[in-house]
Amino acid sequence: MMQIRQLTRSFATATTTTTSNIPIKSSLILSRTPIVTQDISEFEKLFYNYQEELERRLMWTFPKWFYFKKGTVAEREFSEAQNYPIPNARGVWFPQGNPDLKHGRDRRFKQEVILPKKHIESDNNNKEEDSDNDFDNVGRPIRANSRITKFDKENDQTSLERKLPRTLYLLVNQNGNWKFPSFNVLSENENSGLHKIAEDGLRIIGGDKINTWSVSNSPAAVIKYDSNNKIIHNTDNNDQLITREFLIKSHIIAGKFDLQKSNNSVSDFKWLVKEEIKDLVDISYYSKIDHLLSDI
Amino acid sequence: MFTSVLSKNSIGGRISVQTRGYAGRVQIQSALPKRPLKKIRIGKARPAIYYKFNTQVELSDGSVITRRSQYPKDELRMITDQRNNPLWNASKPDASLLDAESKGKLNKFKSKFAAFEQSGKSETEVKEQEAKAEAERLHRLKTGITAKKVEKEEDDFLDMLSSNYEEEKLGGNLAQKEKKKK
Repeated sequence: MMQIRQLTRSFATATTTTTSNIPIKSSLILSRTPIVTQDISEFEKLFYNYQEELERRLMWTFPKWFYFKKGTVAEREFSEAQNYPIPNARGVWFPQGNPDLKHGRDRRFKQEVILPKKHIESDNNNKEEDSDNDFDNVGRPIRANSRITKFDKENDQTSLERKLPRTLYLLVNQNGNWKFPSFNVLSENENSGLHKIAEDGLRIIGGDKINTWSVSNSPAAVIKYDSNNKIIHNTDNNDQLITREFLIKSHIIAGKFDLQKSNNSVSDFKWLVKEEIKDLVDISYYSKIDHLLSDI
Repeated sequence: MFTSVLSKNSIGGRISVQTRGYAGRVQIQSALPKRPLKKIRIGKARPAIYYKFNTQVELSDGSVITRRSQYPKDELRMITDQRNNPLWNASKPDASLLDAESKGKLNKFKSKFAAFEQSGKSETEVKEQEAKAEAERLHRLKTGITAKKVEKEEDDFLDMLSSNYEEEKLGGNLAQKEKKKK
């Protein structure tokens, strides 16, 4: 109980004593949420494969008669594409066991339906390689995009299109330290919220071609610095010159962070995942933000 | 032979006697009615698992997802979907339903015969039309609502083509069933 009271007191001093020149900072944890599904482990892969195969085995026979009318071109094309199994016959020995055919499907195994492939050729009549990239042709074949982008291969850490299954966080090199972008709360904008100050500051250093969504106007965490700019781990420290840095969570929705040349305090930026942040930032700083970052 | 068991409940003071005549199963009467025997018919022994294809669906922004479908088609290309609907894509004003239209057959035809579209029009008229189309496009981008088509924008004499035409009747009348006299 004592501890809780002390905690609330410490927050109270932080808010009420801003007028007496005790510095406050607002820092922004800007994240890019995962774009594709999570990478799965080898075991999970095997599990899902097993479930898939089991379901395929239990599936009913494909009702060809329902989808293709007899005597139509579509029906003929479909039938021609199939690999129909050999039916059972008297006096014939099948080493793998007698086939048990119903509606052209061997009921002992899963059914494999082959769909006839026909891609509409473009008007240009180019080579086959071009037809994949011919975006005017609506009949071009569909290819799943790679989960590994070219920015992953180049290890371009300033790109937003890297590590698609992971959450990326924006880190900047501010005054020689790698950290989340942080901004001083000046006396003139004391009454606007911490989240507002952080969002505005982001646009000053990163341009306004960015669309973000702040999770909340209340901070997710606070980091305290002493007068020598060292992180304080002891909460009972009653130093009057403690700088409090409040961390605001936000997501990037559209646009990109474009480092402004006019700004001197920020020299570089990176979009990183949790492990990369651990390697880059100060150990004491990481211990304070560790629990705020997503593992996936 | 089992001896009868006598137990005395000290609190209630009631005596309950349970007797067994001979070795065997104790008959306990269930409160539930006997379950009616349901016949399991052929093909009803396991749940219906219909044949499903793994369909690759390309969304309008180029992303590809795999989904299960009973329809015999393993590739689907969406023209309008959640990725270019202005309602859910407020932050991307340039992705629109109109871009989807630009890949269609009609647009291809238009681009091919665009030269004839402007024939017999002055330069200012053409510019006016272009400005109007652009304004409509922007309006649709912002609101997602298509401007109402005016019934008749210009007199193109198309309706005159069939004004005096009467279909020629070929062959005689089909034999009709005679009504039975009552």
